[in-house]
Amino acid sequence: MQAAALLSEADVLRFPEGPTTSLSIQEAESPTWVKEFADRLNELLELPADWDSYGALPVRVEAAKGAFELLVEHLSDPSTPAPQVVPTCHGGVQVEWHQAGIDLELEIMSASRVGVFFEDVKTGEVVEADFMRDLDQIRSWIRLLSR
Amino acid sequence: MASDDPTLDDELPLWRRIPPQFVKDLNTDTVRPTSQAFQNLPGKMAFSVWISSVARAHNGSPDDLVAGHEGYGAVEFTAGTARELGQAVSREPEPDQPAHGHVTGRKSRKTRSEFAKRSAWLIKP
Repeated sequence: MQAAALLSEADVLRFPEGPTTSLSIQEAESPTWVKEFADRLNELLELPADWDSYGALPVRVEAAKGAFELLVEHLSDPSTPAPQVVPTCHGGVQVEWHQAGIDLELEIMSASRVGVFFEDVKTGEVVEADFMRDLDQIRSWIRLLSR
Repeated sequence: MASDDPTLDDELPLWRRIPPQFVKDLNTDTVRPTSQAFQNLPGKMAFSVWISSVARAHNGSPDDLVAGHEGYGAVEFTAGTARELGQAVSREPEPDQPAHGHVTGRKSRKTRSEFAKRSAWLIKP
């Protein structure tokens, strides 16, 4: 098996350390995009060093695991729209939404290190933070995406 | 921090290569580079660009910027845009690429988002 993660038939996001670090997808309570999200994270874990041709670092397992935990365990209300998922050149994962006049970006280095950018183009409100722990605030922003 | 080069006019286009992993589908007919495409290089306070006037002087084009990089796109923004966003623009020629330059400065999340919004595609991925 390659070093990067694989998504099994049982819809489990698995990480190189082995099954003790796997995270199960609770299908009945999850939005429809969760499996696609897990697939995308696994793709990002396959990226080699310098995947952007400018010297980017490989995506860290802690970042993919943190993104999975944050989105699937804490922010996966059935009404949460599917996020865009991109790697960062510093080894992280960024999930983002751009709709309804809202730009919301969560830059995840690990489960405990999440940076946030929020902009409401209608009101001009901008919030930036390198460490964001207020999940209720993030949920309130996500709800704006469906307004 | 590299000092800004005043000989590079505000209207001068700067070109940047965009890997396919940095492209988002906005659920419309458009695609946009993610703000992460405008993050500083690991360990540095700058990202790389090609200075279009220098590239043109050496018969270079945006196609040359993505040559050998399958699936990549290229965007342009002006030196003036970079300066409005608090950045310095400088020439950083390399032995095999005289048009190489740097956009230097701290890039907040808002700054990176503005680069993404103000860039225009030269080559769509």
